[in-house]
Amino acid sequence: MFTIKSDPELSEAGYDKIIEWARSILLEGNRLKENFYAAKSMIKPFGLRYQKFDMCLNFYMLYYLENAELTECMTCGHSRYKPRTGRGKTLVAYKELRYFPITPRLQRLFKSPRTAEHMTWHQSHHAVDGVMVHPSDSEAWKHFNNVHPHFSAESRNVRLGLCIDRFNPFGSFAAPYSCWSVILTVITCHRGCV
Amino acid sequence: MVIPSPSSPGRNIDVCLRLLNDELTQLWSSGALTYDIWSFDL
Repeated sequence: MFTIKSDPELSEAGYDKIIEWARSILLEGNRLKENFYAAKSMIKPFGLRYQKFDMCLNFYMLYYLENAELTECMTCGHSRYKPRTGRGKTLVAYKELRYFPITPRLQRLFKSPRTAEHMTWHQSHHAVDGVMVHPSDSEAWKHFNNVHPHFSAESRNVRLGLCIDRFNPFGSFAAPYSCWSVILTVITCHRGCV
Repeated sequence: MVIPSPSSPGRNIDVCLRLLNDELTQLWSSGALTYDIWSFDL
């Protein structure tokens, strides 16, 4: 159901309407969650949560661990929170970074038989001489195996690729609202797997 | 990771990557126990 909602960018209200209709034609006692909020609460234990961290507006520091309680930047002195407006008590940070922990996501790959099978694909596939179909056929990959034999001995160890790009969450006309995403990709599987 | 910013953070992106660095360092040094359903193994 989540795929149906996110692929055509269906709104939450639209999703709820469809669910309401689906529930009306289903038999009594069905276990379809009544709305998007309830469905989202159900998938929480799958480990797809993210964490939010405040950071300095000028990218000088992250309010994290030992600096979590500070209210202004140690380098540029910029305030962490926006000035309060009205009577609200909630402090709103100037810049908030969203971090998606990688460990539960990698663990999840091994929990599903469909993806777990592909996690060792890089070692079991047979490459044709002179043809590179995957980074594991490359010299760099083999060199890494020689340098870190302890790591390469376990084929289930995951290798990751890092890429950074800019995207705009609100369409191409909302230029001031762009975000920078840092994405880690698993490169131990064949392409089209993850 | 998503960093809200109209312009590139440039070299200062290392401040944000500290989170990732900490987690990857932990995974590299001690790792995480994971159940592999394919081989029914930890």
